[in-house]
Amino acid sequence: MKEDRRKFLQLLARTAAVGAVTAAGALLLHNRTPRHDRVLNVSLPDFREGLREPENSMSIVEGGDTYWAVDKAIEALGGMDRFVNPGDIVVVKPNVGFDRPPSFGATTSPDMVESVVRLCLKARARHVYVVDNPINNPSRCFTVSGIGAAVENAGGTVMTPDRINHGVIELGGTVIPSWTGLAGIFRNADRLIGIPTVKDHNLAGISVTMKNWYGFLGEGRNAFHQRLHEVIADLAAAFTPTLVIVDGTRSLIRNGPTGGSISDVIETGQIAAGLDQVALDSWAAELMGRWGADIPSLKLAVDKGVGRVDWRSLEPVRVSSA
Amino acid sequence: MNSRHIRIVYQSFFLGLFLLLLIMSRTGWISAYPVDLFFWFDPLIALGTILADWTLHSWMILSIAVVVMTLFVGRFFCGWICPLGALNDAVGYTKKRPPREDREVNNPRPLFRLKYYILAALLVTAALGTLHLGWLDPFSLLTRGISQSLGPVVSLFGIDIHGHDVRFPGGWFAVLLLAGVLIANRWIPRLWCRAFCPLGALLGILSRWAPFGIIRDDEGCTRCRVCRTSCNGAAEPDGDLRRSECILCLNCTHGCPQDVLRFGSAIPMTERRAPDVAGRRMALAAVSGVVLWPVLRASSTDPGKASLTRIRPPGALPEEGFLARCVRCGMCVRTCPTGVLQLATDEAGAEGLWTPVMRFDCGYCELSCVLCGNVCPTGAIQPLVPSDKTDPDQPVRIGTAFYDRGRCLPWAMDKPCVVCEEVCPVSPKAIWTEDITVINRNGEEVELHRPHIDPDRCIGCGTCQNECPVEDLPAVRVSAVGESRGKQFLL
Repeated sequence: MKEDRRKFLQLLARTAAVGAVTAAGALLLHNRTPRHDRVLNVSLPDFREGLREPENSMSIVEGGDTYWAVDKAIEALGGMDRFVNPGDIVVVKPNVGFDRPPSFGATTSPDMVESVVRLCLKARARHVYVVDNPINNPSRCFTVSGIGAAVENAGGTVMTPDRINHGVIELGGTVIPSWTGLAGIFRNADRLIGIPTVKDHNLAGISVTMKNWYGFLGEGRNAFHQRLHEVIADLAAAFTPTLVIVDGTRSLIRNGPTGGSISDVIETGQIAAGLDQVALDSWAAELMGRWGADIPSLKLAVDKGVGRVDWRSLEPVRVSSA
Repeated sequence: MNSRHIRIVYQSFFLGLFLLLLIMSRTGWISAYPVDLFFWFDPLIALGTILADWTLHSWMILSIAVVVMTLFVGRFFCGWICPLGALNDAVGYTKKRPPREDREVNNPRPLFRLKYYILAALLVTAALGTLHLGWLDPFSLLTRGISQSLGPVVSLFGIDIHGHDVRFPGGWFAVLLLAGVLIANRWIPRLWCRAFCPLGALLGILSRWAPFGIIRDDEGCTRCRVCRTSCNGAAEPDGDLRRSECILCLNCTHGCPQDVLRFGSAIPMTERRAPDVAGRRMALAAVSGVVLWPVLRASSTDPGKASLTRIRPPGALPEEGFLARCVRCGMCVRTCPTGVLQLATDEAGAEGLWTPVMRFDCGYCELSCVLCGNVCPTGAIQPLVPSDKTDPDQPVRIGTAFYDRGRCLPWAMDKPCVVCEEVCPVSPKAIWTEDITVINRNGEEVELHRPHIDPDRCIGCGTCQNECPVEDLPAVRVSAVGESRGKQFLL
């Protein structure tokens, strides 16, 4: 009986302890931030922090193969170590928007991607992530465009949207103050290098550097077309890249931004590098036989202080293989 | 007056309170009543929301009282408080059996383990993100079943407990489950509680080590097994009492001819019988949950996209969070003063069965009303104040109305109409008209006001759709696109 009483008291004490722990747990969880409210929210870092100024602000290279051209273009700005410090994590943003082979001009040329990734790694970048959130199926886009293989050859990492945490990116824009997208990629990123291709665009006029930032955003970006020019200007103001290299080896001059026929593409044989997105896009517009000043998003970006349409005033360094 | 009578008084009181709160959940009557009171004390829902959304919402903290008491004395809640248990007892009472059969039906059966497996599977789906457990939670089941049936029944006698037409498109389905649960008592008493109830299973697990409970003095027991004939939990009071099954109805204590059964402290200590669940079967139940959740989600409306049919009430959380909180109790549906809120059958897909959706064929969302968010026990619908719905800059939007110009009378048939513009409740109106004069077939001039939606003003209340004279498929219809909780579709 005495034995039983001791056991009972033990049981009582144990039950009281379990009750107390449960109650404490409940108090701890009471009105806590719900799981579904814990949304990743990132602000974009300064992608030029801790870098020396480039020697020149713009370079244009004509002719030669793409590897040579990219080399020369960067060299003219002072070399890749003006843009990437050892140990940096670099985000490279080509245009991988469509499930099309390179010759259709809808995507950045794989040679261009490969050279840029190589140069970043040569400058001792820790990781080079090649990122896009394409319109078509991402893994098909990376495969068919040849960009996936190019990145692998060069030793970089392809980051399709499913490999990145989605969340809200603070953009500070007038039309899009913030938007959901591939927020996770910017949490540790030090550098941002844009490598767009030169394309016609049904609504925007052209799709080059500024429009290319679209590929960092996700769900609901199909609303952007309601105020497309303003959105592109917002994006240009939000994403201040470390470096931009425009792939003008070929240009998609009609039926953009998808293309679809080889006859929509012309060989333009030039690439340009620099920091001023507006100037580079204006240069690319001329490559397609248009005027930057006629492109509404460029004008809006100028108003926001992103850059200048008159790219010649930057006195670009010109290199030619001839 | 014996313990059974006292218990019946308690059960009647709580059943009465439950019904009273449900009946008072009507606009005009509701003001002072905490109509979701019972849900605050439901540890199953509390645990479910903790697993699904990592938070214990508001008053549900009170369910800890039930947990702690159950840890000490066992499943008193099932026997004395649960209104569904009371109804089960009442229906079971309609069946009279000879004592031999009474013993038979109150024997433990392997089937009664099922509730533990159901609980395991439902907790797994909760942890994965959806409160499917609301399908079987006893308060949710009862609230749905009664609120969808009582109104239509009493309306036969001219009594109106809803304040709107008793039209419940998904009602029969919810009522059918409750009816099945109740009728089953004629086969085996409290079959639901013994074999299916996930809350009963949870409380059963908590009961196993209770220091207080039914005690049998073995020396005086003659093994007459009279106690077994009336045991409401099929807990074997004449053998090793199954504490996890005992619902403390106390029928055994006052029925014992030798008076050897009583409620008290568990001295002398006897062996404690664990719920009869096998680890392998439990693993199978958990795996079922892991299969069930993704399959149901894949079979349903995309939580990331606005839907034509899955239109949620104002204040509803974004869909993923909503599914992690909604216990499908239907309190919001019960309380809605216009009947626009209805239990979903297929509107939200398999995963969304019995979650609330707006059905503009049944009603419209009253601009000044915020009752649904105020009666939601789990915060799946956040409480709003009326000014949230009329905020000039950022009103809470349910969706957006779209015109079907092939059916709209002034557009398609040159008939004057614009009932929609008249009833549009926002200021300035979201519906504006293009005024023109046309020559009709008979050569007569007809002045027309052709309606348009201003998407910046429309809050998706659906008054236009509800009042449209083209009744079958209204010429203006609301979809969830543009809802505040979803993504922006207009810049």
